[in-house]
Amino acid sequence: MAVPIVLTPRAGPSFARRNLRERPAGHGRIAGASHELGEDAKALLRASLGEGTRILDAGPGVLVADFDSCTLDGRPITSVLDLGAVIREDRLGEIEGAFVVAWRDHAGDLHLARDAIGHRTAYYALHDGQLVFASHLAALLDAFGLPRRLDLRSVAAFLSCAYIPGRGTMVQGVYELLPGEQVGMQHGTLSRRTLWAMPAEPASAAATPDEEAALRTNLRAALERVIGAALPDGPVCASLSGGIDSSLVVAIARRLHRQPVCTFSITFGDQYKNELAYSSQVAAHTGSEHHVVHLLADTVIAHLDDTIARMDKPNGDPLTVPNALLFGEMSRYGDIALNGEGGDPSFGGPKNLPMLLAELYGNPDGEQDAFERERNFLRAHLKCFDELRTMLTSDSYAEACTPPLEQELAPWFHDPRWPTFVGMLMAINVQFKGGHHILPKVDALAEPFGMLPRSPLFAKSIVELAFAIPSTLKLSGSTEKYLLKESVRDLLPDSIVDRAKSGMLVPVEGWFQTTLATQARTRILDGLSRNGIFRREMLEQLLAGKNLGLRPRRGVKIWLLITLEAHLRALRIEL
Amino acid sequence: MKCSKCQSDCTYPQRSDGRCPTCKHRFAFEPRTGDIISDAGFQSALDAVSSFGSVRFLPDHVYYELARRRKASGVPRTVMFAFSGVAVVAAIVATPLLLLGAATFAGIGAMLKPRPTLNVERSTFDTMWRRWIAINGQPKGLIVRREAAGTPYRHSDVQHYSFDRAVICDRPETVDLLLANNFHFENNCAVLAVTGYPEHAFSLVREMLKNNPRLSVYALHDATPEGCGLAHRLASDERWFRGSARVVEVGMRPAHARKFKGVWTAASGTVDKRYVTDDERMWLEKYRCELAAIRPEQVIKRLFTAITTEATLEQASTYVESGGDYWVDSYSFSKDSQASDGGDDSFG
Repeated sequence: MAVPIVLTPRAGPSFARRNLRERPAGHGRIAGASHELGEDAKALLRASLGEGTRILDAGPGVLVADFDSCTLDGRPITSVLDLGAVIREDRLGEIEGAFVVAWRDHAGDLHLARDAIGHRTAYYALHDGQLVFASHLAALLDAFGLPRRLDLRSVAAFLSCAYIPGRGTMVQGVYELLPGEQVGMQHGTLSRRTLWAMPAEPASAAATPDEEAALRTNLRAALERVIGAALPDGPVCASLSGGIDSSLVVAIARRLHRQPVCTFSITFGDQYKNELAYSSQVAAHTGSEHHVVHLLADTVIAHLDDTIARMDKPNGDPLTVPNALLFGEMSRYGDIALNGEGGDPSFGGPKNLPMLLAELYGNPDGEQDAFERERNFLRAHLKCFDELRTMLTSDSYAEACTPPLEQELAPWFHDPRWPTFVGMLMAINVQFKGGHHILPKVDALAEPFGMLPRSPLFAKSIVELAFAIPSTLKLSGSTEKYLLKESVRDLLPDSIVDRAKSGMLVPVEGWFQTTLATQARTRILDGLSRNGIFRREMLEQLLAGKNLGLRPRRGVKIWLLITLEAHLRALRIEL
Repeated sequence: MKCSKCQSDCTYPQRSDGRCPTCKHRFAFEPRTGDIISDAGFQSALDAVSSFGSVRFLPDHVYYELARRRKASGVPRTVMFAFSGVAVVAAIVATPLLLLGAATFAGIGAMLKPRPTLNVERSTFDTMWRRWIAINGQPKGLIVRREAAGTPYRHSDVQHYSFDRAVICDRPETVDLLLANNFHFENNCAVLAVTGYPEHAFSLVREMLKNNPRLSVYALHDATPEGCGLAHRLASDERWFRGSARVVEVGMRPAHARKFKGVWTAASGTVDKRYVTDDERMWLEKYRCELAAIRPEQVIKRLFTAITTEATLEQASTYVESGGDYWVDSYSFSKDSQASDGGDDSFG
């Protein structure tokens, strides 16, 4: 096993507002407006987004883009000229890869578009009758002086899911482009258009042995194609948890790449449960150059504010800071960071079975309820959905949850494209956990360290192929991600392929009882409770760990709240 | 006596009309006229079984809670023995005549030997329960048994899947407790009663469980002859999991029930000696103890410990002669679970 690199909370340059290292040339962010920008606004945007920022000029036919590893019909897209040609052919929705693009059409009207799955993103608002946009929310607020009024509905969504699904942000009137969406401003009116929609799944949930064999072969070929396409000319970095998804990406990368494959795992110390035995096993099996990064509680909290400041929408996953610090370590070895994100939503990962059990048993009280399934989906995030009413003040709750959050999910649960239960959940999870959660997170956290994240299991072609796989080959009996596992069985030890999903553990519960107890109190009671959204006595009860019920999840909830506090403070958002 | 609604105190004459003089709320009970508990005491029992509103419960849990409180509120024999001791000392210091008092206290103490079985009649509780609900409404968190209804499953693939774990209970009430508290959802675990409950999902879920050759089954039950035989039945009956799953006994055995003396009930029926030890048989021939005697939060947390702890499992044959085909977890229900035993909440 590799000797851990211990990251201590050393004083270092802040990465909250500036990059410690720039991404490779050609990967700058974008910004602009439907009107011509003054020099002051341009300067503010460059100050916030970096000198390499491309700002959309006035005049018809201009185009700016932030894109990476894009192809169309198997041919690489290497310039904005190539992208312009794709736009003229109206084939943006067919591109494989990461992009966000803004252009003016022949009439000078502004359009924005985001890639199908959501690897890149941008934010926009209507301001003084104009459409304004930027790759980052903070830049948009700073450059255009937008009002920073808190959107309470987004607070409720964040507390329920630990991210904000959909186009909403924490700031009223500021929106995120949806994956596969085009937004335009024509004659003073905002228009939205879907460039790519998730495909329908097969009518039959089952497959014959021959069909299964063919699908397994196709999937393996597709995995090798997308992972091969994600490899750079030089060394490549990859996060390696020891789960099936990151392990298969490393195994295939190692097979296809002639340059070093540097893998990285996290530990929080031997006293906490970790997966180092598995990740080390995969590293040894595949021959990767393995690094273990040891993070202390103080190190994580020391970088919390910087990390949260880099995120346009808050992400309450305790792994955000470790993820960011891992990118920092990777940046010493290469520019490209592979990850295994995407395997769970596309191939029948965890969360399907609890939803299935809820479906089988129904509402325990036997009451007819139009949104029970939608509520269970929110509950399945295991955050604070059921506690919103008690956590928020009555006024805040009424504003945040009218109409109920679950009502917005209903169209997903009644879409005829997905006749199977697992297919239906896959569609929701690809959009929510991919485009609204994981992909923007890795992009934002990699940026300050000059890294380009690539998530091959979230490639558009892989997602489309996954929809074509019958649902019983995703969840086979109780075996999650069955076909994905079988497609790479020859590349990995059986102990890795057949192990149950355990999830990456961050020992926040222990930290908030000891090392970080004071930090939590200060940030929550002195910071968050002042804005009047929360009932202070409930926050005190959570911090004290009293009467929290059957599954307290105290650490996770405290982390959620300190993330929210840091986000509101970083963006200076007010009620 | 305190009003359960406004918390204000009042004397017996002040509440002569049966209402709180401050808020005019009607009292459900009047200890002065024979009720075994006050309104505030009843509310306190509800708070205890619901863990202050965070856990759902059945009327049975309230019944056992009241019985437990009544048992505790009687003059304890230890007090009598203490008085006796004081009298002996006083007799030595003052006059030997006090030895007579010491003997009297000791005698009363001996006569106050606690009853091992319930000291509140079920019919008494049922009357109190109806009265409480009529005046105060249904308590928050109460589980109300629903009518069995066929759920239309819209999706075509549901029956193809399976689960890694199942808890099989000896009675529907335990299933109700687990489902209402989302145990199945939070722990990715099917829940059924061996009696065929819940009817609308029973057959489908039982068939789905057979799709998983690596299934773990946990037998959860009362300390009764039938309950103590549940694991054996699940492991040996072909309609259940004979040869197709690992069955683990996690329920209440007589050893666990001994801690709940005072809320046992008298035994009925015969004891099959194959599934119990001699010691257990002797207890089961006299008594039984329901799982509902344990507060709901503890039942669920102990069960969580049971399904996530492997280290304490022992083969059943260690305990009973014909039990080699299943495993026994005698640890999880042997002690109170701590606040953090609701699960590892440090998942990122």
